Amino acid sequence: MTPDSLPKQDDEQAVPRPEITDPADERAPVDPALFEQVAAEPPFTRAVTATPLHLETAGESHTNRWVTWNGYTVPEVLSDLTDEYRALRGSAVLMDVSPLVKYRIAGRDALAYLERLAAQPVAPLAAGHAQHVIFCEGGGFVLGDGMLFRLADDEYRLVTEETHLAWLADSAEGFRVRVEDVSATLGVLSLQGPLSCFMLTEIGVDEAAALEPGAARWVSIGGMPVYLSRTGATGDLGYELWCDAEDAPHVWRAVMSTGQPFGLRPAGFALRELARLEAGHPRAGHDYLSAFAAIEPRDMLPPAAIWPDFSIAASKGLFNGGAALRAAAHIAPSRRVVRLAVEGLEPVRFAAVSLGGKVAGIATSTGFSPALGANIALAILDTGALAPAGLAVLAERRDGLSIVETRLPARILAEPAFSHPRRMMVPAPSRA
Amino acid sequence: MERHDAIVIGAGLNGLVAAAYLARAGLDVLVLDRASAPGGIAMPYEIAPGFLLPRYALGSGGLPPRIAADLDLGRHGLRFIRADGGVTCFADGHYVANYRDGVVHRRELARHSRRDADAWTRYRRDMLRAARGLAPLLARPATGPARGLFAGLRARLSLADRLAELAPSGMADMLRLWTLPAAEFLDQYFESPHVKAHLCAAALMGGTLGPFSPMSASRLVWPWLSEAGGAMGGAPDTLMPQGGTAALVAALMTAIRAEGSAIRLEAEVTDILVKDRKVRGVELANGEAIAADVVISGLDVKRSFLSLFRWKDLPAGLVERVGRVRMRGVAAKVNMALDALPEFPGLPEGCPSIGGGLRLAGTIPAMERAFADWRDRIPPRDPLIDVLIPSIADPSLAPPGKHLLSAFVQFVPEELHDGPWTDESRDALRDLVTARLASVSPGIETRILACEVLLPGDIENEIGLTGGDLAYGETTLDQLFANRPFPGAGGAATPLRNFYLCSPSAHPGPFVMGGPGANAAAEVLSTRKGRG
Amino acid sequence: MRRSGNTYDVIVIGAGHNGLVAAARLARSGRRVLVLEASDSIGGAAATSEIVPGYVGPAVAHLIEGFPKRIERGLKLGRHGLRYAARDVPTVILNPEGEHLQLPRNRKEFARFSKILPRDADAYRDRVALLRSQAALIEPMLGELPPDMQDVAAMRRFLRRIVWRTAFSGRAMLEGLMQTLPESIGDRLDGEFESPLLKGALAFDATLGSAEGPYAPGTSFRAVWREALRMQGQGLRQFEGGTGALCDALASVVNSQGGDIRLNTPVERILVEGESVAGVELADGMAMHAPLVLSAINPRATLIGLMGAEKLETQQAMELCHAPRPGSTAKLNLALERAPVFPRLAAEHYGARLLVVPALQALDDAANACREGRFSCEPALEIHVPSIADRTLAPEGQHILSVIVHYVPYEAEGGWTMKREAFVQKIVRTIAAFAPGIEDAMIAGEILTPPDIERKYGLAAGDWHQGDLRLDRLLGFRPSPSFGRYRTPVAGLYLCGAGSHPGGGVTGLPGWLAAEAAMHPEGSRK
Repeated sequence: MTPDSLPKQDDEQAVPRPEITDPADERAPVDPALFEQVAAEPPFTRAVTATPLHLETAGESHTNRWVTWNGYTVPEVLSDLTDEYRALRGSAVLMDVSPLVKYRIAGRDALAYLERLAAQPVAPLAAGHAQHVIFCEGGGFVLGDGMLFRLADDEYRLVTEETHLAWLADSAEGFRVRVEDVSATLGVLSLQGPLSCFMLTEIGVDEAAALEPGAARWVSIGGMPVYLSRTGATGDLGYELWCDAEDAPHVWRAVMSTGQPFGLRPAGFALRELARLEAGHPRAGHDYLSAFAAIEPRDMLPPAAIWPDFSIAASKGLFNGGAALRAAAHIAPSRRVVRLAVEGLEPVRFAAVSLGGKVAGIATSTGFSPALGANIALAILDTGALAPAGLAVLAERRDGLSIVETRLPARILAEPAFSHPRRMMVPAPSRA
Repeated sequence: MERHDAIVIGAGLNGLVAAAYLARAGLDVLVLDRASAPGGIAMPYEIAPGFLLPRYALGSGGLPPRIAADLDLGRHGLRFIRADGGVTCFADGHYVANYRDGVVHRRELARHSRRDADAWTRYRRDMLRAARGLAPLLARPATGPARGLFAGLRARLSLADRLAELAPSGMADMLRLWTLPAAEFLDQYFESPHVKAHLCAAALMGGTLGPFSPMSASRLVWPWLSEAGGAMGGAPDTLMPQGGTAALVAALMTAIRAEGSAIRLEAEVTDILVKDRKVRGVELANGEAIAADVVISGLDVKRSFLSLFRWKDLPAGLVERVGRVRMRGVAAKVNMALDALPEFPGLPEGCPSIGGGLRLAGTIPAMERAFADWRDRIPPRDPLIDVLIPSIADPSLAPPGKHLLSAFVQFVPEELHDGPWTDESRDALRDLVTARLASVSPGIETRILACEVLLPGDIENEIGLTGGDLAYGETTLDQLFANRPFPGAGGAATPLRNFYLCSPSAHPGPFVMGGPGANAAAEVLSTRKGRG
Repeated sequence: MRRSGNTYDVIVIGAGHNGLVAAARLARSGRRVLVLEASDSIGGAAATSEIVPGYVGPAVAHLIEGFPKRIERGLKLGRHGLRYAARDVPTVILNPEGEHLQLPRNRKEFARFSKILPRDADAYRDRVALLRSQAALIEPMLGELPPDMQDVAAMRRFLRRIVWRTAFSGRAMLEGLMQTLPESIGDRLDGEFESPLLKGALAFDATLGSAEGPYAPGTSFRAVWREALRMQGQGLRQFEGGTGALCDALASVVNSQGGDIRLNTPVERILVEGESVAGVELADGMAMHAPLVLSAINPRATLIGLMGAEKLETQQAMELCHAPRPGSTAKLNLALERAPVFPRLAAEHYGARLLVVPALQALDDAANACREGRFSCEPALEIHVPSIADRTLAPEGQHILSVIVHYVPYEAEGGWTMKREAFVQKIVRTIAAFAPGIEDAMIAGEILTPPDIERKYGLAAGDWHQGDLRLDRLLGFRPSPSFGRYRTPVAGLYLCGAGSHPGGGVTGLPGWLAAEAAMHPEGSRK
């Protein structure tokens, strides 16, 4: 990365030049065991597979509740979901999101390669910025989505929920581009909440407030180089901190110690899921299936079925799935991912969504949204069921030893359950 | 003269399944077998005192839960064990294991190639799609083209429409799967030679095709047909009967007897009685004649027609058609009784995949060489060896602390290019298998209490399976579905009225355990119903 | 339209017979055509090559069997000098011990055939009848644009048409096809015939041009496909002046319509603007513009090599990225100072297509040996003496012997430089067993191993067929699903070589149909 590709580089010298900026260094062999330093379990078990922050989160865990995310063991809830939620919306939370899959895409043709890979135009993305990208297979069905960071002119980082190396490598044929999975080299911390900017400023990262949504830059936290991006999927102000796997625990401790007096709490995967659900972001492999994983052809969805505002930009040239999507542009997808709100004031479990007594879809993520005071869900519905009224979910409530089944009316939410204008403010509010 | 509704010849697994279905439907069934114990190729056998294993069959593979449920075998004492995995060990020390759990399985593949771990997702999707398309075809009697001018035309038009529906994506995939050589098909997904060889080896077992033979890719689907696989995102697994095939056979016998039908052992059928082109009954070796409305043969197609009938009773041309069915032995069976559990230092300690079987293989070019050797009738130099140690999952099969090892050696010719197998060449094969085993489990040779090698010729001689072909007829596409047992006449019904085949020589072949028996029973019952 | 020096209506890459047929058809429709050929002569694999001055041999293909009358008429090739030296050339199987066997073409020949092989005669008649009935079903598909196999409506129409065409024979026909499609020719023949000679010859016919052995599943169907191609064409024929005469006539059509054919002009890349083709760039950097570009060279070389994988979607590029299967056929041309003498061969059969084939098992061994980089000790040959029917090919009294050798490895064990001499010796010795003294009559010879064919005629991996005839690569799926029907994802760029439907052989059909597709572009591809 050259200095002039960075935005606002006045105090560039203050930041130690991190290893990651030099592509030659990044090609140095990476110890694949970095993530697995906690438990060297037999390869055939699904025992603890640690992230670089495992010891930190384990120390914070009061519940000992863990989940497997992308093959890694991350805390589900560290203390109490309600408390964590309160911190997220009232102060800030710090989460370990290291299991995200990170690809480094670099080379002379990196832009051309990504332009063909992604369904959205990629060329306008400036260095030091990130954008959401969707990528499809040849039939125009979604394989996955992710955040694309442009680190330098010829160097990108693609961050996804699921691994896609086979597709990314196949797609590289004919391009002078190098695609590598750098997941294990990076630790990722997600600092989210209204006070997140304030806390960064407290640590000494004065650049945080000026960062636009989607922008990123190198900063120093506790003497360690951190690539700070104003990203996150909580519907609120938030930042993600990308650092070397070995530095990650130190960064975690630095942020925690500074933020704790101001209400910063560590949070687990359950909160991340709830915040994502409130913000209305579908998660790959959960709310929709990659076309390569969809055994039933009907489970393969075009981008517009998942992201209603998706359309092919006029400037977009050739891209994977483009021919099929353009040919089918006038055909509405037969199923859609929608946001649902379900009546009732207490949390319930439900999956099936029905219209007029007939099953019309399935809820993929569900949860009780404190922001809305209702159960909300992301659901895949048949397009025919996108009716304004009549939707219901079959909810189950445990009552002693019996299960009470109730049909609760549901409606489609046009807006996410939570979306705060602070999210887009520049400069970001940095006062407590 | 003694008389029954149905006679089943051969108390093999499929014969018993057919008999059990018919008995449950209220028919009076008599099962006849020349041996002194039931089971056919799955017959439990004591290789040394206290060591019980199926002598010819591998003993893995599962009865579809559907059949077990239909016949209520649980009530008759059958229990299933889920066998995870299967692991391929390579001569160079690498191994690839199968895991039911998708996360673990992908991690296993990523050890060989991270790219391949991702490619697995698409491979699994395509295999499961193919298997789901195939399963209904296998679960019901094969239907040839419809008869009758108009009915046929209508049926063909609707078939054309159904095929056309596949056009957008399925057509190309289907053609690829049914046309390509396995090696080339796998090249489209994977890059690691070990991952490819691991998947390929499983596909080649029991078949007469090499990795570069056209159409061998379709064999990759068979492991995915097991109804147990697929739920967790990993490799398919199997349900094995607890107590081995012996327990399965015992449960089937109990089920048949519970319905009031009989099984008569040591009763060899020498002739099938035919009158007016209809089968009327059978004659036993002791001269006794037994009449029956329906006779169902669990023998292979060649023996069923060529040795049970007087040829003059058969319709013209049938002898030639039967003669053209290809049955060739491709595998030898090696059974061993072991003093102790063999160790596999190359595998991680406690690796559960060993329970699902161990395969000793080379890379794909080595498999092609092994296949070429078989074709040239050379004693195998680098065979594929499928090893099962059934006593790991089920200790009751061997004395405490001791173990059984049952191995299939793939690509062993029936006869050598320079004549029949000799004692020396047989010993050489045994030594080769032991040496290959010792390469992954050093010291196993010192633990062998008893060992026997059954060549295709032995299998033919001992149980009368033509060519020693454990698949009961080669399983290439021209001998499957509507072409099994005869081209254009697929299914259990034969050109002779009242005579049915329930061996894997008939549709759906050896891929679905008990499937041919269930299909034969279904055809018998639907014909009876049709006649009122 | 601008008509400057380097702007044309159509550019055709490759002056093989398919490229020239496409060029000729487009030129006759009034378009200004430019044909670009990288080598110094036209014709590609269908060219004529001079072994030594005065002796003209067929470069690769020596007899033509699938060239349809309508192409010949449609392009008025007769007026451009195309003459036949021989029509309906018989096929004779050389028998090392006993009477040579001619495959019967009519009742009289059948009588003689059944005298030699009384036990197989009826079976042979039945087989020919079955083959013809199955081929008759396929034959019409070869001469027309294949259906769009990814479109439900088009496929429904296509399949329903087949059903109606077989309304009366449907059941038997379906049963027959269900058996024929997957089976191996070897198993089929073993079940039907006794004579090893006949079985060997029929298996040779079915597998020629492919590396598969006679016992490979799916080979039985190739016999049907080949029979269908034969029906499309006009039987086995020989052009006057050698196979290259066809290309000369085609070139003459192109020239007479104002088209240009440039030799020694390799194309560097195909120019694409937006999603349409704009022309080509030559090796010397010059750009030639045309809204239509047809490529007769192989699909992979065209789309990956000349255009670039980045202009395709990933899936499309992946379809082409798998390495081509190497060819397994070699060619030997001999110049003879006197007529070859085949004892026991009837005089009228000297101009025939002569087959030297071992028994099925040996043929299978040859296929296996070929896969392992060796050639068999019992080679399978197709011999033709073109100078018998066409005296213009060699000086008076002297002759040309053209041999196609089946199952020759692309990579010989130990390298072709080492093995070439021994290989030629083996072929010549094999022929000498039937034509004693032929070694002494040789003046010169020319051997083309599969790598030679690749080098000299640009056929990828020396594969004459540019992609094996496999069930998953037929009709609209040839060469692969994304590039069927001659079209490519780039508007105006078409494939017109043997890689496209209906495949290899000197049929002209890929070129003819590609020209049709290019003249009548449909709306957007589905």
